[in-house]
Amino acid sequence: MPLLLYFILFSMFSWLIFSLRSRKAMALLLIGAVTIASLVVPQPAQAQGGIITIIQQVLTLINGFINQALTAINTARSTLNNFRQVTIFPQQLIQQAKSRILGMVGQFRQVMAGILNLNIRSASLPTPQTLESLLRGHQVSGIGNITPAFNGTFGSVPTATDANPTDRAMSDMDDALAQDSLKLTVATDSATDVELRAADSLEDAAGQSAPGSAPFLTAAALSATVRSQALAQKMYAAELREEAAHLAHHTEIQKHGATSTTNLRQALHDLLEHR
Amino acid sequence: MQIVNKTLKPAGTWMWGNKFRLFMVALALIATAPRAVQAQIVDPCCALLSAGLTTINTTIKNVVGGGLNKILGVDQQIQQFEQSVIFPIQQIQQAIGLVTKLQFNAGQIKSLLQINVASATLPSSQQLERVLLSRDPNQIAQASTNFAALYGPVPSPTDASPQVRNIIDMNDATAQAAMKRSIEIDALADQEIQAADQIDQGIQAAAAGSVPIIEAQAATWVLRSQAYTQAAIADLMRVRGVALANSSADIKSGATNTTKLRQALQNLLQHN
Repeated sequence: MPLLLYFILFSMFSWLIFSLRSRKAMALLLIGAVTIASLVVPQPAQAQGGIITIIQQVLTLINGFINQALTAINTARSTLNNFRQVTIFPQQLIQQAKSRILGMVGQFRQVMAGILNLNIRSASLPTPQTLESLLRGHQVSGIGNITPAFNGTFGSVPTATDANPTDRAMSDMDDALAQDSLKLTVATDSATDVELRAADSLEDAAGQSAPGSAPFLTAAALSATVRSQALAQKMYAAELREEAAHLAHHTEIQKHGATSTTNLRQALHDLLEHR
Repeated sequence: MQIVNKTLKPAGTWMWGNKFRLFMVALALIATAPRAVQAQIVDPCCALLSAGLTTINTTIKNVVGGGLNKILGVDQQIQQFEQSVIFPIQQIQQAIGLVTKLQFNAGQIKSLLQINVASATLPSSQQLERVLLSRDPNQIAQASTNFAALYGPVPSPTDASPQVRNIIDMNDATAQAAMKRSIEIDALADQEIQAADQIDQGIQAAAAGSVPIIEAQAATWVLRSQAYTQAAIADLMRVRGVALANSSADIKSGATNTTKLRQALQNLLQHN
């Protein structure tokens, strides 16, 4: 493209040279054309330094700075790799930890399950035996049968003709809270079974886990612990209700005693006055 | 030859006639003609350049390429170790699968704890029991009314000594507080179970790098849960402490009454 432009401009210059008659005009045209051409046409550039020097500098840079930097990075990464494999995550110790879990599973699981499942039922008569069987059966489907079995063992609330309203109400409340707790124990026994199965599963998984997957199991175990604590709290809440009712019952007897003493005092006073 | 002479002679004449103009054009051509650029292949300078560039190429291959290859080798070892020993995807998926399974178990526990255990049969005890088993902190205010309806109020000053009235009031207060606390604890336990469910969902959606964050959160929930359990145990201890104090108060009261009786009998005997 620049060559074509040069050809056109040179042709125009030649045509003008042959067209002009005055030598003075021709000389002026020549001076003008050369001046414009020297301003417009780029001059060939000369190299600033020797090419060999530049190549030598590049080679020095590669062999020196870059080589040293790469060697340092390689050394650091090798050290890091070695540190992770030998110190932080030695495969031998990882395997040892897994083996330890499997060993402990074999050592404790069956033994502890055996201890927990020992038969501790002790009732000897039919009615208490039924109640005891329901209470220790871990079967929530049997909870509906607890009330009749409870009443069969401990008796029902006295009829209105047999006891005063306060005593009947207290007896009913005591029985109710006792039954609530007994029923809750059946539910919590069943929940405990579920928790123990979960603990077994988590332990089995831990025995096959990797350092990167173990935190999942830890988090799951912690979550299960929160749930277990909630379960324990519900048991404590039931126990609180029982103990509170027990205290309230005792206090009511004190109140009743105070009222009875007042009544007796009044009766004696009336009797003495009549005499 | 004649034809050549015939052709060139007028040209020569024309050139001689325009020699000044031709000189001008030639001068302009010399001054402004584009310079020829040296070819890079055949020029001896380029051979030198080529040798230099070849050396650079070899050096880059050996030094930079070799160094990078060594680093790549170490990185591949690290990657292999991370993928097969530290974070094997199969074990991670197994762990997440187990969490999903455990969440099903958690659902079972939740439904077990929602079984209706209410057992009272008379109206006043039913009312109190309903409040106590409600798990609703908003119903705590009704507990005192229902409690008083069932167990009666503190005796009037004419019916009991100040000491007896104090003991009765303390007993009732402790019993009511324990009952109210039991409602609170039930409600808190429900909240904790919900939180545990959410933590399980978080674990299922987590990556190996983010699960320690959930682990930390779960650990704080365990701590919180322990605190609630302690609150329940504290109230249980209070109830038992007050019950024990009652037994002691009975002995003290008996001792005082015995002394009074002895004094009364002594006075009676002296009068006789």
